[in-house]
Amino acid sequence: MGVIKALDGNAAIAHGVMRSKVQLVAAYPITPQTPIVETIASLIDKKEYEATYITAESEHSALSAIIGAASTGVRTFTASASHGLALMHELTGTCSASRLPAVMAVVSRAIPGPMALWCDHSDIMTQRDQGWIQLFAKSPQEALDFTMIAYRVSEDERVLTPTMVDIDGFYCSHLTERVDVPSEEEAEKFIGDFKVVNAHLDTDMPYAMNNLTSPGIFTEIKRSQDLGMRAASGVLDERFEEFGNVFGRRYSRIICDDVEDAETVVVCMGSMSGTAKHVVKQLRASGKKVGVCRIVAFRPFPSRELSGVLRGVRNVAVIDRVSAMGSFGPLYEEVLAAMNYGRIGANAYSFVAGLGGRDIWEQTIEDVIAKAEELGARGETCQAPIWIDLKEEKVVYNA
Amino acid sequence: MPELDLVSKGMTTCQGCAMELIARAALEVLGPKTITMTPPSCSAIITGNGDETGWGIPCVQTVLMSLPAFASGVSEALKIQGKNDVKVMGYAGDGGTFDIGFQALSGAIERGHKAIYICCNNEAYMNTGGQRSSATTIGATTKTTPTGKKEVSKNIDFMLLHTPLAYQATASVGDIRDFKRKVAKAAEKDGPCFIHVMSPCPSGWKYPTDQTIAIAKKAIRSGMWLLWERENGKITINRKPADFDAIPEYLHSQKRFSRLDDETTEKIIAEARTRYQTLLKLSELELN
Amino acid sequence: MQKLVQQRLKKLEAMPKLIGPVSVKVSDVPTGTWRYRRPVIRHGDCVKCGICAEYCPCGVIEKTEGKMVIDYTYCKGCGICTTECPKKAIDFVLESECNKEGD
Repeated sequence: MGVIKALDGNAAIAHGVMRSKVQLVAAYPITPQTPIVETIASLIDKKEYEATYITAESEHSALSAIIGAASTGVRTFTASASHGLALMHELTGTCSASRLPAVMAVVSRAIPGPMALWCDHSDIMTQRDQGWIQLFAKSPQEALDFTMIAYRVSEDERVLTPTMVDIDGFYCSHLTERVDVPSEEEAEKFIGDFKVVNAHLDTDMPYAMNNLTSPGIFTEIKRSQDLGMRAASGVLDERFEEFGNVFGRRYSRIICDDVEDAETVVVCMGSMSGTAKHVVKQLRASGKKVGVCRIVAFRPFPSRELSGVLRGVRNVAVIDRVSAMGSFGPLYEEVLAAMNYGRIGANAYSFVAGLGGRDIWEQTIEDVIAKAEELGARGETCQAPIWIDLKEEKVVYNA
Repeated sequence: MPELDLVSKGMTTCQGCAMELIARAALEVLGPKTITMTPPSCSAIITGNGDETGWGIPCVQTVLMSLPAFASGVSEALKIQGKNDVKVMGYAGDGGTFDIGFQALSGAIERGHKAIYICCNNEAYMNTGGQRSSATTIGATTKTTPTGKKEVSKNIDFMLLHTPLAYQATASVGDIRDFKRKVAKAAEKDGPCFIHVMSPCPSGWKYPTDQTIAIAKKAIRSGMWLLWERENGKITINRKPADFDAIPEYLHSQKRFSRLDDETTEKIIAEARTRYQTLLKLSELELN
Repeated sequence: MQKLVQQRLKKLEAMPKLIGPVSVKVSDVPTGTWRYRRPVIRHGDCVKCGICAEYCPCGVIEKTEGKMVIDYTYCKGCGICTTECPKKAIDFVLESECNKEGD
């Protein structure tokens, strides 16, 4: 049986790492991720958990060490956020292209500038095309569970693609909740020992890894990476199912509430989805046909599943916790592509909210829904993202 | 010659490339149970491209900024796997060591991972066509110092004196036996080792290809390149410079110094003398 | 065929399918075609000290059957051996001259 503990998102991830029998952790502290690596270091120190911990001198070196260790054939973990994730950027591409099944926790924090410590998705969105599976957890329990699931998916022979498990900085990372931590024996039913199934550094079988690649083969290597990523959709479904059977907690790549007969659906990710769910329930009680669809797997994107959900919906309100300056938010673009996939003709509106740690309140979600319904009723298209929680009077601009 | 070839003969390194010889010599000593890694640099030519590699051992192309961190990961993973007989060799140039990779190097040394880091110093970013690095000698022309470099080079060896290296050495392709002896010593250590090898470059230094070894020998003889090693808190000077007045001959044998004025030449000689005097004094001390 | 290529070919047979940027073959460029001058050992003067082999960057000089032999398939013709030979027993001959003599 598992143990019920009061853990915040960071500590939950650390326990997920321990239960996933990760052999090597390399990391560099950064707010709001620091408690993850502190907890891991402390678990190792107290001999509750046996692993090697490399205290790297930068995030760049942390991920470099992870790639080195993963290339040699051990199970690895790192964590980062914001500036740190930006510093890792060149290596996230190296890691995924080398088909190394590493797992990283990203505790989302705004990427500068301006300098900020608080949550938005501008850090993880810089990584969206770096070839990592991206799972967005909304609670400490999910953070632990997704970490374990991530290893099984990344290491699957059909996938061989690293995973980022994202939690929202402070909203989830520093939120203490009841977390069911699987016992070692229980975890063992789901997590096995690490097995090397692909290229690695072996003196008995010498070859070169991650070499300079010519135009003659680059496209094909990228395509095989893309196929691995696409295969992750089905593998995620399998592992969510298996995880549910073992632990009784069920997840899927998109999680919807009240969407069946909804006229307006909010699409969002991360911690705000809890608030959205709450608001939707309240609006339903007052007779409004609204629903919420939370994207759990941003990569690979569940286009088919989402288009199925949005069929028959009148208005789609997409909330991006990041501003794509001069264009539309990344989630909105994905939703549009999914709608096109399923020939869904609904109105789709792009909202920007919760930047740099601005709280997304019930009112924010209510405003989003009201605005989408208002524009939809007028038959207006989305000409620019709507900054729904903007303090207009504070915007300085030389017109 | 070793029983096993561990580096291919048919590689596209330049004619007269010292770095290629250093790789062969290092692997002759370390043997097939070695994993190597190269950053983007001339050494990456050995790692190869497409489906071909020049190494007969497992190798990886790492990013330029953090090869030593990559080596840390490999080294610790080998420990986890219980493969204690496998050696880890980082093989980089002066750019990846003195400049962009210096932070990662200092970190890996401080953490104490078991690995041998070999820096082939050809005194510029030769793989991108020969731009100055912080290892470029003052007065040398490079693509980014067309009238000669204005600054003295970084003395990385002295900088690393106060780091917990299990073994530190300078070496030169001009004395390949001394280099091999040093690699053998490093292979015995259970911690981070750093070997800094002078690696003249005919393309960048602009001298005839047959002169690579001769120029390296001139550098040793004139005190432009000092051969020494540090272990157990003690510096040992392997060779006393024969004649500092032979420095101009060393400089004039390379076209990269063709714009050198007398004042800079004097400065180079004075600096070489001071470097040696400092080293002499350091060799009398207990360092840790 | 150089030894390393032979060794690797043997290993290649047992190599599993690998996914990702992996280079399993050995670089085997016939760099001898780069040469415009060729080192030629005068065996009468050669004392077989092996210094030429020790300093050959390309590893193409080997002691075979009691004499030093240069592998011209790969020798790039840098000339380091001609300079380093303590007996000056290696000539550096223009390739065009060699061809004339039918070497």
